Amino acid sequence: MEREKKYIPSGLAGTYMRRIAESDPFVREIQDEPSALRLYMDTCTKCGVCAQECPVYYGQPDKRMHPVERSRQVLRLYKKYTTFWGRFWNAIFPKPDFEDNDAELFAERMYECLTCRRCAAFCPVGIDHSVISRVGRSLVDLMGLTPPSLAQGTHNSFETGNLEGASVEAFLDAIQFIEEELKEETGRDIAIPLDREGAEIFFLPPSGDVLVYAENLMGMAKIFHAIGADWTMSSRAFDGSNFGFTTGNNFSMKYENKHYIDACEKLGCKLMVMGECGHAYRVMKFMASEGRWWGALPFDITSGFEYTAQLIRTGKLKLDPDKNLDPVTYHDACQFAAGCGIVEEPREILKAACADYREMPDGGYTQWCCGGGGGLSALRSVRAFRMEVSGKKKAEQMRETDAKIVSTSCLQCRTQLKEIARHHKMPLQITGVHEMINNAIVLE
Amino acid sequence: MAYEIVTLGGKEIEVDEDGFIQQPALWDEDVARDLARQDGIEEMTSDHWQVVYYIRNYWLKFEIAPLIRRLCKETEKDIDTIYDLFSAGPADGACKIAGLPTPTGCT
Repeated sequence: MEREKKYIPSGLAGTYMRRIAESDPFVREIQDEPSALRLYMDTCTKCGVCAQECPVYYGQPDKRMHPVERSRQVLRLYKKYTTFWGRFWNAIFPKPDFEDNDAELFAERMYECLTCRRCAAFCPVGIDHSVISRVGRSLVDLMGLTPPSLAQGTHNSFETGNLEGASVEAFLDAIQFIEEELKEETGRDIAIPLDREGAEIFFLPPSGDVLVYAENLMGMAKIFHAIGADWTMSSRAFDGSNFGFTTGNNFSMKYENKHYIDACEKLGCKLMVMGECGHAYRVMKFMASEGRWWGALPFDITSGFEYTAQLIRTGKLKLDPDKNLDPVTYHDACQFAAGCGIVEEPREILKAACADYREMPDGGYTQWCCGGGGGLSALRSVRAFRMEVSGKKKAEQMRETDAKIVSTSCLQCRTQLKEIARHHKMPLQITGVHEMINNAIVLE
Repeated sequence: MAYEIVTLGGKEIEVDEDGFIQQPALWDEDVARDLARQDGIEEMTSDHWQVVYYIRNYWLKFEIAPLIRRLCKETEKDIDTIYDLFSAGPADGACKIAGLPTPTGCT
C-alpha cells in the first residue's frame, strides 16, 4: 500500500499552519498515544538495566541498540508536540521533525526493537519499551516507510482476509489435501468442517498453519476428532494473525481483528479457539475483548494451548510420548509468554506428548526472544542483523539444551529459529506445539 | 515500493529488494537459471527443475505456493533434500527461482 509521505515541510509558514490546526495526522498520532508514554517519559531514570537484558543490545552493545536511546527518538517527538515546554520552544524555534535522511534512519531503528517486553520484566519501574517502539512504528507507517513485506501483508489482509493473499479456492485445496493426509495417516475420516452454522467451536489458526505448514492443523483436527467436538472453521476468515499490531497501524490492527469476529458471530459459535499466533491472541483477548472494541462479544475466547492443556489435565486425550523420542525443548514466543502469560500450558502439552522434555535457559515470563520478534522475521532485508545480532544468544541457548527438536508457539519464531539453526549449522528440527500432539495422539 | 530493473535470461525484469521478480509472466528457464546462479546454484539438475516446476504449476493454478508437506510429498523429496538443493530454503530459494512474487506472511 503506497502512502503519501507526511514529512513536515521546512519553512515557518507551512509548519506553523499545520501545527495550529493540528490537522496533521503525524501530530494527531503522537497526541493520541497511550498515556503510558507520558508515564514512561517521566519515570525513566536511564539506569540501563533494560540494556543489560535486551537481546539486541547483547548482540551489539553500542549506543544505537540501547533501548533508552531508541525510545528517546520517539519521546523527542512526543515532547515536542504534547508538553508545554516542547510546544513553547517549537513555536519560537520551529524545527523539522526529521532532517535529510533521518526519517529513513528512524524507520530502521524502530525495526531494530523486537518488542519482546523483556525490558519491561526487568525495569525497576516497569517501563515497556515495546509500547514506545510501537508508537514509533505508527509514525513510520504514516510516513509510508513501513518495510514492504509487512505493508504487503496488511494490504493482503484488507483485500483477501489473509496475509498470504490466498483465494478461497487455494484455501479449499489446502484443506482437502490436509484431510487426505489425515486419512492416510490414521485410516479414519477426520473432517475439517467449514462454515458450519451453529457449531460450538470456531477454530482460528494463523494462515501459515493452513497454507504453509499442515501439522499444527492436523494435530488440532485430531484433538477435536478424539473428543468428538462440534467445531468449524471459516473459509473466508481463516487467518488468525495480526500484522497491524506489528506495524503500529491501529486501523489495520482493528480491521484484522473485526474480520474474524464477524465470521464467528455469523456462524453463531460459542467458543473461539485461537491457534498458535500470539499477536492475534493478545489483540483479541486482552485488547478487543477486554477493551470492548466491538461491545460485549457473544462468545468466549481461549487459546489452543489452554484448550489442549485443559483436555490433558482432565484426561480426555490419550497421548503416547514414545512417538516423540528425540529430546525436545520449548522456545517461549514473546507474545504468548510476556504478552499473554501463557507459559505453563505449552510445557504441560509437551511434557505429556514427548518422552524427553528439556527447559531452554531464560524461558518463561521473562523469555529471551528468538531475535525475529516484532515482525522482524518476515523481513529478509535484516537477515544479517537477525542472525548475528538479535538471534546471537538464542543460537547459544539452543545449543546448550542439546535438544534435537525445538518446539515453539509462533510462526515467526519458527522462521527465525529455522534460519538461526541453519546459519549456525545446528541440525535442529523446528516444530509447532500441536505438531507434537499430531505425532503423539492415540485415537481410539 | 521501489523496484530495480535487472537483466535475467536476456530480458529486463523488475525485481524487488529481496530479488523476487515482479513480472511472473516473463519467467522462463533462462530466467530461472540466472536466478539460481544468484543463489549459488551453478547447475540446475532435473531434481531442481522438478521442484521448481511443481511450485510454478501450483502457483499458476492457485496463485500461492503449495504447502511444504505437499511439495515434499508430490516431488518425493524430504525437507532436508529441498534445503540441500536450494540452500535458501523452499520460500526464499525455490519459490524465487520458480518466478513467484515475494511471499508474504509470517513464514
